[in-house]
Amino acid sequence: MSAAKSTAVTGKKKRWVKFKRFLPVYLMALPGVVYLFINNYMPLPGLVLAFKNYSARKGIFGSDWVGLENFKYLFSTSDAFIITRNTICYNVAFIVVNLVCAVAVAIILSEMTGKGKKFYQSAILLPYLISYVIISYLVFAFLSTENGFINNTILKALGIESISWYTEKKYWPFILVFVNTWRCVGYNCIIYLSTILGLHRPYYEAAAIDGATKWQQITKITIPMLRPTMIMLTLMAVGRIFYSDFGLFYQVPRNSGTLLSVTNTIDTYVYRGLLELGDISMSAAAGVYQSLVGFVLVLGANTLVRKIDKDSALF
Amino acid sequence: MKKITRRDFLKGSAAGMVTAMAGSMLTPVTGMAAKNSTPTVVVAFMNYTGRPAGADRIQELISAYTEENFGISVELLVLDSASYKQNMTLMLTSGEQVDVFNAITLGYTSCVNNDYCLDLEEDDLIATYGAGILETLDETYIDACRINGTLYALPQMRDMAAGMDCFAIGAEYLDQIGFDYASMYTEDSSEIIYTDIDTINDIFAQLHEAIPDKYVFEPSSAANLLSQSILVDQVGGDTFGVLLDPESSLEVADLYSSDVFYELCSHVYAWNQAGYISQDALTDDTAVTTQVQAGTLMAYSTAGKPGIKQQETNLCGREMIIFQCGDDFMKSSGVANMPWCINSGTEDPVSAMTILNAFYTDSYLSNLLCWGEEGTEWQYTDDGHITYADGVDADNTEWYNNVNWEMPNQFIAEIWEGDSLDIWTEMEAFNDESVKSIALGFAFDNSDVSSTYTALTNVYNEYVESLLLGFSDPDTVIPELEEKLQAAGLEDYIAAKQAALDEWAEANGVG
Repeated sequence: MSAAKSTAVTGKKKRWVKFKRFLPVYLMALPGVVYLFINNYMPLPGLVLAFKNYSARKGIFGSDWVGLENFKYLFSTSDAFIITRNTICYNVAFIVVNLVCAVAVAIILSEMTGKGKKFYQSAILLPYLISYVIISYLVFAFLSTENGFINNTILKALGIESISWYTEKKYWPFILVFVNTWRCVGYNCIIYLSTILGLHRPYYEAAAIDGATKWQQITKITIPMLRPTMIMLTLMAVGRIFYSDFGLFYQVPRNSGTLLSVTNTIDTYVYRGLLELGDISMSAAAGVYQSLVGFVLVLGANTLVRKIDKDSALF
Repeated sequence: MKKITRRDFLKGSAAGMVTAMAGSMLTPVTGMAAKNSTPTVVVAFMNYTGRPAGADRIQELISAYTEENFGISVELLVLDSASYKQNMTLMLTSGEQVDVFNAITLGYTSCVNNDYCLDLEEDDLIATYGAGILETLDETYIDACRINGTLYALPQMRDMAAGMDCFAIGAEYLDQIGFDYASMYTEDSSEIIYTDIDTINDIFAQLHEAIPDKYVFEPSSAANLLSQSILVDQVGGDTFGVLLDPESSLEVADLYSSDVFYELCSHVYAWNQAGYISQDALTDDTAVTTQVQAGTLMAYSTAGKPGIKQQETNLCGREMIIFQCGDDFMKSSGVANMPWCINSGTEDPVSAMTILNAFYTDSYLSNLLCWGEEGTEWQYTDDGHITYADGVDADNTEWYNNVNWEMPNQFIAEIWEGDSLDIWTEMEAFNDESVKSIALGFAFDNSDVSSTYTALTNVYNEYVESLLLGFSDPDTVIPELEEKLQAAGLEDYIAAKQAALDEWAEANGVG
């Protein structure tokens, strides 16, 4: 008895010691955990809104149940196809382009030496810290039909007639991908860069002794070693394939109606619906739909990766 | 994992907004602070610039007065027009304290459909605490705010009609082309010049020729151009199904396949092709009055009423000449399009009604709301008008909202220099003599067809703005628009509206 008791006590003690040892780490994590709790867990009860006809007077839990009525709104319109197509296609394009650009930039930065490196790294990260409202004006400064830089300087110099950018649909898939890449590449390459810097240097030394060129070092060592990171980040991006970057699709096209068929995504569609109708329940329904599909996609993609390469799977 | 959460937060996706909102709803609503024994009434309305610099001072003056007389203090919530709808929707749904609000841009019908508005006759609220309002407002105007018989809001004292097809043109530019507008005023009308669209075309052509570096024209907004140019009643508060002959027929018809719409679009298209309209008009959201003030634009569309010349001149900071091509017209929603409501979630309806009653009946409060503080913002002139106080002008005044028509009762406030001292008599005559829609007072509850409405609105957003700003050729784009509208269920929507209108007409003995 007493022996068992004393083991339990030492077990407790051990745990306490362990806890004390990691206390600073826990404290460091605390703000993040609190943030996660407030933003991601506390609103969970609000999910019931998707199944209710929300009335401000009756409150969230007092409102009447309407079943799946709110979900009909999403699927009853002919726009459902367009917004789903736009959301998924743009995200697929972003995943591919961002992956290629981020890895390329990370490799270039890692090969750089000297004082310039820090400067480049900061400069390339800067766009990520700019709000989309400001970015939309930056883009407008380039694309404005009357006073824009492209129409007034570049096209004029080339002798090409000016283009009414905000009414021509065909350019926008490229403009949006370009803006997104410009904004995100600095941020996306951080993780790749840190992975490259953490790679075992002797591999490269051995390769150099064997006469491998820089290009061979990159293709034969760096990229294969980056594979797990690439898979992980792509997996995370696939999980968010049903979410669009609201600021990009709402602010950058400056709400130009003519462009809607190439710029409207699920998020902007729901936002416009909320503004036109003020109907929170419908927006909540779309939120639930997005979350569920996103969740299934993460699980599915992860299962697939597990089958191919078990070590690279997230869980 | 950190990456995702951080990005979640940064990207203000709609879903994120909803979750954040749901989060804020979980925190208990504090309402009136317990430490403060006098109840506070929060009054929300919009202007064009956001909370003015003098708002705190005006709020204190109003509160000092209402505390002394009614034992209630007042808090003013002044939001700019662009974000008013969004902010109010969030506040009304999340249970933040807003006791009295104006339904402008939110849409009165949709406020009622969403349960934001208190029944003002519940427990004799208005009869007991709002007797002054009932005395001030004409009964027909009050009745025009009833939805299915229930009174959810009150109209303000203002122009209920609007002069259709009006243009404001800078006087100095007309002088430059030697256009003699002074002789066009008549004895009856020394403020608005009644003319026709050919004259306007002529003026525009001359302006463009003489002053090629400024834009000739821009509509104040595409939606305004649609509602202020053609004598069509957007019955039920939207453009999907309108009365094309609002004076006599209750037939709900499709606006977009009508001749009047085609003509309007053709006009603007021709102006755009001629280079009168800025090529950035579609994406540049700078207000037209700001553009005129900055000297880049010469004319824009507006709606006529007594006092319009002074109002636009003040807004633009230069003299504007008003031309009107159409009739004065009172739409079905002309009365109830920006009424004052009491939030259904208010904790103290009695205080809210008391304050609203005071705003309708007390000229001291009305002056504060409309013009600001005497001696600081304005002063009396020798002839009984008021004007800017010494050292104050349009640029540095701390309270000049330009939304007197939104305030409960501008008729009991002072009259600004430049307006006729009889302006309110003229305004009443203007309202009385206007062409009135046969459906005056009809409101449409579209909650049964709300997903059709959303689908139609999406089509509208895609096509109509660029048509009305002259960027699309009406000959090719209107048929395309029509096809999409039909696919989105326009027929069903019109049928639903027609049924509601017929029911209303029968109940009210109209038609």
